[in-house]
Amino acid sequence: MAFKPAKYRSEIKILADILKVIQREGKAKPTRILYKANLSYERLNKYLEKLKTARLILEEEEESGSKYYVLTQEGERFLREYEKFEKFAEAFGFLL
Amino acid sequence: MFRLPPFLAVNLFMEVIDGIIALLIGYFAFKGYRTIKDRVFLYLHFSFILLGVGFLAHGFTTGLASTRPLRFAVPLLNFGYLIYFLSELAAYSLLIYAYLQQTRVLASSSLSPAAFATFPFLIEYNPVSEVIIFCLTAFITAQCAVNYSVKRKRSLFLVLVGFTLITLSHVLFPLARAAGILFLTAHILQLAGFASLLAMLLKVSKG
Repeated sequence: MAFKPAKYRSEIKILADILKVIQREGKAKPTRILYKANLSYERLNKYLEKLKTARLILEEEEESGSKYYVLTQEGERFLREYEKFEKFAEAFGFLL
Repeated sequence: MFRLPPFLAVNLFMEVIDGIIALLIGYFAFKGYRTIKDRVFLYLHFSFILLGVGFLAHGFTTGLASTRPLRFAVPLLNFGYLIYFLSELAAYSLLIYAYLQQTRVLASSSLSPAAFATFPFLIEYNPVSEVIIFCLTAFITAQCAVNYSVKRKRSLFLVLVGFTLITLSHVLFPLARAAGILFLTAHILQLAGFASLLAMLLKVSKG
């Protein structure tokens, strides 16, 4: 009863993890997100595209030409909602 | 006309509050499912909605019974309790199923056939049905205790306290026939349990 085997992350959990990384960093480059969110390069690109399409993140460019990502207001709002429900499930001992 | 004794009216009021709190939790879980689309929220949603409906139905039938002559009031009370018992049975079983799904342990539980044989003749807070519900809530409480031992967070503590109190209430309900004060105490414990769950909901929804 005490043992909880590791779950594969659901897509929405991965998206939330990416958003959390960007929020913590303020603005995050792809390699930073890759490392912190523990993703492969191909999957990261796929999820970044989804987040851009959903307008939860914005892609911007530094003067040097390197890309970075920031959360939009919608992204901040979604993350707040996600964390609220994550805590709710956690209160009952459920892992997302 | 069968009149509801004042202390029963208080118990009825507490049960309605329990029902409303359960529905609020169920609604929040539904919003969680809409946002995150994880099955866990569906289990929580249906579990607490069933609880809420059961409490409110029991409260409604108890209130209605008070307006009827005794010969109609008793079957009405028993019918209300049957709905209440079945909804609790389904709700807590669903919650346990959700926990078992997460740990990937397949458990089979069998209820005593005798328990089902009493269904048409279920009387309010009879020992058989209360023992069944007690076993289910005790399991959930044990699971909550394990959860809290792993992660010492206030929200988990509130859920543990909540289900502990609800479990204790089901110890006292079958004893209620011996003394009315036990009936009142059981309802107070149950209400305190749901108040603890509400406190958890308010804490996590603050963000």
